[in-house]
Amino acid sequence: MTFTLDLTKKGVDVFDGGLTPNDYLLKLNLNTFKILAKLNYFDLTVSGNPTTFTQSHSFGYAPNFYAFCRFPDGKVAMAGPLSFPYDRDTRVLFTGPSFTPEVDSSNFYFILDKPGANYNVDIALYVFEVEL
Amino acid sequence: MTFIIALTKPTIDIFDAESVDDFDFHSAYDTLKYEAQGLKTVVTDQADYYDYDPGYPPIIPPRYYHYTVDTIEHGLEYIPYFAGYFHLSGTIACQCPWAFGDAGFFGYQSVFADDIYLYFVTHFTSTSNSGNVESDFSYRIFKNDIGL
Repeated sequence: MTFTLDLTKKGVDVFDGGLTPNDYLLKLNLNTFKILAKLNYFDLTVSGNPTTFTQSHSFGYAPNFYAFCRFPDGKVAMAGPLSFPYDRDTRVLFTGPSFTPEVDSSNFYFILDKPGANYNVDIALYVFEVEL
Repeated sequence: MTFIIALTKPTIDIFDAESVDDFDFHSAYDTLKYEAQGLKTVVTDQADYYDYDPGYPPIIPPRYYHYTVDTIEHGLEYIPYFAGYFHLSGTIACQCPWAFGDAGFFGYQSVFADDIYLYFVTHFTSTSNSGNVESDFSYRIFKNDIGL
């Protein structure tokens, strides 16, 4: 006998034949995207160009991850180029800091440019299941 | 006594599970939880340019600088896990932030968050100082508080 466990959102009939994965809160056969770890770092000073903050890990492989960075303007940026500032009035085009997270089998690396004066950031790191 | 709820993939005996990936669900691990998703079109009126560069005609034409920010209110009162994508064309989208530069022209699109809003930023140069330009974004907001 095969068992299944399907939990649909409130208002969605679990026996409806036309459901999509997004209609379910939980559906067996659809793997949930599990968070293995979450870490926050506060008041890190970017004093070199670039500055790399390193966080060791013990997964033994490069894990699936994502990171966010809060810059001095208070806005939280996704990882990538020209993360700060979001306000163009103080932006120096194409020389603004980029936030570049990297990972290998031993460490996470958070790399930030410093085109001008020192500045502080906060970082949130999510580690998800499955090796990259 | 500690109880857990664990569901393995259909072909895996729960007592043989070795990896977190063997489980479709495991109560020991948090997951991302949907809050909202949607599309956001940011409209830039090119008549409202903030800077002008005469360029070097005929090699580099004059350029107008445009910058527009629009928001949605997520209402969570904390900074949620989020994702933003910029639609480069009708069929191609890329994860924000997206940046492009060539021969004096640039384009930059990104999504930021604080505890009230998502901010959709479009910043670009063009040769025009009239008409509207639409920048299309997709976004996902999860209930998870990123803790910043």
